[in-house]
Amino acid sequence: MGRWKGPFRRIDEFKIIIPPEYKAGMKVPGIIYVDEGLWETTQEEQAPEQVANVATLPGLLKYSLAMPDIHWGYGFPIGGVAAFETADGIITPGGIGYDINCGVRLLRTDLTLNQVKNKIELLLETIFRNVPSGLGSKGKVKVSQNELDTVLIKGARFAVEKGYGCKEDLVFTEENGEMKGADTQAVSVEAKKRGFPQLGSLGSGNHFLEIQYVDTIYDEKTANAFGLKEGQITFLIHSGSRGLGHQVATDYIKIIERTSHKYQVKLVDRQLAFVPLNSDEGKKYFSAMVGAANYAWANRQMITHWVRESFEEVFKSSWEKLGLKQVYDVAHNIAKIEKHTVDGVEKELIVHRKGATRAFPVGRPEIPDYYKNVGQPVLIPGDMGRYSYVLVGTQKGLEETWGSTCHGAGRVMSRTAAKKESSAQELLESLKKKGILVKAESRGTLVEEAPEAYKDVSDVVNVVHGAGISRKVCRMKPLGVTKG
Amino acid sequence: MAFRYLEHTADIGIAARGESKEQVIEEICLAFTNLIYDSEKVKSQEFRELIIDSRTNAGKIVDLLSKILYLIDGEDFLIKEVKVKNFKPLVVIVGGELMNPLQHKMKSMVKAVTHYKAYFRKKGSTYLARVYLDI
Repeated sequence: MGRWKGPFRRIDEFKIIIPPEYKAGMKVPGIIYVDEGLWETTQEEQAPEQVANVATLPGLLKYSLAMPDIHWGYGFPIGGVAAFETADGIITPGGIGYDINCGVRLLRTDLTLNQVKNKIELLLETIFRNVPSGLGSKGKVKVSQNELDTVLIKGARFAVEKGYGCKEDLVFTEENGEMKGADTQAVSVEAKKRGFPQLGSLGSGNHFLEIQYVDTIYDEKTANAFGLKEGQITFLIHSGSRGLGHQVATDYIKIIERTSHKYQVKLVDRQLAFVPLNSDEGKKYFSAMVGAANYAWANRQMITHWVRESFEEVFKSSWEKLGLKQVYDVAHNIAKIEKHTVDGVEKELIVHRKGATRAFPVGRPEIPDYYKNVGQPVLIPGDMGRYSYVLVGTQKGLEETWGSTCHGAGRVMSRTAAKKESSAQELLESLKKKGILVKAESRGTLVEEAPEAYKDVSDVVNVVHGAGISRKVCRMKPLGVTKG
Repeated sequence: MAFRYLEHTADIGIAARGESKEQVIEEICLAFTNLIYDSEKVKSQEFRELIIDSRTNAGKIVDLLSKILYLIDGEDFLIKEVKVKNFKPLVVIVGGELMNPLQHKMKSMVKAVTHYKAYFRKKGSTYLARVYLDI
């Protein structure tokens, strides 16, 4: 792909700007949140060019933004954020990605490190048995055609009504796990067929389940509000909309590519093909995307239930007594309709976040009442050998990035290169030495996901914290990981 | 083998070559399925016809592989052989069997077939095709 050699100017310690004069068609500047160290890595591929490409989209407001975990993606870079007015703006699948509502859910417990450390292996084995995962994995839940349509409409609420979890889980889920506007007719038969058997499964690739403990608190007041304290056991779920979401993206990329010529805009990258949000195709894509997002929330809700059952089995106590409650659930591949202030005027926007997380501050109505005095929890998973973080949304983030921040570590090494670095056995042993046990369905996938294949998530988080677009609350260290 | 896998930071690509349009299409399809599962033990017990209505040559490859991905993921149909019946419109016959988890081994998960750097063209007397996959 080659190193990116375009012009840029450093604005401050935590961000650089790509001037709109760089490329014909750029309507606004590009801004990338990076420090010197991460910027060196970022320029090794063409992701900054993609930030400039996004800046050519019609109606883009303010800036083409990218978070510090930026890396190359299809159309938008991963880590890209872009907002358009709903009245006359556009929607593009390239700004959302193939894994619609790939996201993260954090559970907390009343258990401490000492109570759990001798049971990690048993817990991992139990979780591995109870949560379907791995290549070609099928869920344990069998749904009818009508029920799948209900999943697309009700999302996590469908799962709760079927006995997977409790109503309180919905309160602590972005959009309450049930985004409005899904149209089941807009989701193809092929997408539904891919979705049927996979409902209630983790999948493979970078998706994982992780037993962790809180090792550092940065903001005691906010951590308290999130129910988090040092030494506490937490649990992270990373999964998405499985084949259903991938098929929705494939279907609409084709439809939108065929349609976009009507709008007479020369695309600098055909993977940025777009349609007006209010066109027939735009409305259909949005409503299909919402359906896929709801599927992902139902999926994470079911996985939550089986994780709770696993803890109950190992600790011989109910999940309620173990305090296995949900901290929050965030989407990091999605487009959402939100109200924001643009040049002093409140407007309704469609905000695309692709590998970026919503990070709203105090005062936003979307935040659960329980967190209204502190802001929205932001969940940032790292690789399996280092850390994960909980951040909180800030006012500065709302003003600068449409209330968005990073989503994870960001990949830096190809899968083939990662496989050459170490064998599965060597990786398992080196993680064990660090006190991290791993159980994986596929050894090939395991080595592809080695910690060295990713940026250090601490470097990424330090940038968004330093830039003030979200704030560190606490850090968790992995104890046990299951991967598909 | 007339194909090779291409490195990419997060994903993977396939480049295939052949002496005819038909051969390069068949090669890239088999390279694709071989990435997702071990095709050694798959048998051609059932045949299906795939009709691709794409306007561009590169689009034909992307849409054909997307359809094959759907067959694997949505219908549990594993493909052993591929024969191009017609090029305009592209009609392909695929032979394979339904997945048996006890017999067939999955190797990788592919989310989607992308248009990134996709091509299907003739260079000299050789036909070339390339796609990148979202993993």
